[in-house]
Amino acid sequence: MKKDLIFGLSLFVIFWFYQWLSFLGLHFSFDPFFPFLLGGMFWRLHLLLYLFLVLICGLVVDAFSSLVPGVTVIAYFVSLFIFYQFAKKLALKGFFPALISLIFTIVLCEILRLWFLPLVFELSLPVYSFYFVGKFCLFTLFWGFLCWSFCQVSFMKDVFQISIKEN
Amino acid sequence: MPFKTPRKKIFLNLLLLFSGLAVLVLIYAGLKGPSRLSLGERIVLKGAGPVSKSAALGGLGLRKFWQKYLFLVGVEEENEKLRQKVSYLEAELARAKEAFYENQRLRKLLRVARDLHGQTPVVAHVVGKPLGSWQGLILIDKGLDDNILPEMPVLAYTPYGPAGVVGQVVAVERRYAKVLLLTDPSFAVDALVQRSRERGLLRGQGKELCLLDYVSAEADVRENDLIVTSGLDGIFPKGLLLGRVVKIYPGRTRGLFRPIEVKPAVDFQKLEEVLVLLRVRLK
Repeated sequence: MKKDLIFGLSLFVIFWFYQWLSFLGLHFSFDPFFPFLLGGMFWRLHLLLYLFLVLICGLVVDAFSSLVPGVTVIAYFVSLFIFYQFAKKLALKGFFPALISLIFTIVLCEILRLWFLPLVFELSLPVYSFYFVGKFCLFTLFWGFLCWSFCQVSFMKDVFQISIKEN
Repeated sequence: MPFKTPRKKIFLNLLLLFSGLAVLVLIYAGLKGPSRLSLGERIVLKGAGPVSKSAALGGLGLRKFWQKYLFLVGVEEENEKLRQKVSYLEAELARAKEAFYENQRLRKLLRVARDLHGQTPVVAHVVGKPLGSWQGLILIDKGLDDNILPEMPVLAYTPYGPAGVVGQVVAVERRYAKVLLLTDPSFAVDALVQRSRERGLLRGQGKELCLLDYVSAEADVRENDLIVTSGLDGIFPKGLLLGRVVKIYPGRTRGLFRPIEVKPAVDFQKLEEVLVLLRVRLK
């Protein structure tokens, strides 16, 4: 229960600070929620609550920044499902596989969210759309590493626990 | 309990199915309505709107405090005043030139000078910026309760009056509205080069840039020409300032046409308040 509360509160704080910094004049091109949600998979939260929080985060991103509904929700669920498969089937054996799956999932999510799904919904893309998507992937990865290193010690611990168990 | 596992499995499958259906309902229900926002987005905006508003107030407050009291007190204030003055003069100049050209073409049928901003405007505060996306959208704190509807034009507000086009409303909730910015690739408006009356379609290109398209390669367009709305799209009143020409691509880059880069008149990074014109296109 405590973990659930901390996780939910962290998402709330991330949202508040992201908007606060935007209005302060510091606009960052990254997805603030996804890396944190990704790490949350290892927090062993109540499944329904975790899925509900993913849904809420997706809806918030869509409500604030998408012209078409559902792109972020779909991208989040698809990417998290793929990351779950990585964690389950490959068991993230050690640091390097975990890192590769983190990079793969984040890049996949951002491509889905910012490029592929808007195209499916026939949205016009900016001229240098690859540049924009690339930039978002890169900065989200940095944020992902930060989440991984500083915010989600349990994620690190769990990854290594899995690798120890497997070995 | 031999049936426990299959029953549990069926229950879980049903739960999953209903959850999936609930998610789809939240994402796609209500889009055909006048608000053009899904049920989920409306619910989320009710909760996240005030949170974002508090973040906006906090961020803007701290920025103002930093700029006006801590960082170059006099210079910054003077700069801001001058920028506002320039913005005001540009808007005034655009309007004055518009009136001049109209007189020059002897439009005697126009008996009463059309006040470009005659419609009752609603002042709204920007309370939300895009969350991790390249899309040019902002959230304002006025919605259906203030008679705001999708497609209404949104202008930037200065102490002297509206300075230029910000974008248009795309979706509304009771207390909030989503505004598509001029710079978003999905935005397009019928435009005129004010000096030469050349017509084109102004489209967003992403960050802080627009493209004036479908302008003939032989058209008389120069750098620093002002671009204004033509009024032919039925949404934006005629003569509103859109931006300034910053780059003209040489030759026939796109077949018969020559694309022209336009910098929007409004600084979207510093947008705090906007004016929404209560004007809808009749269908």
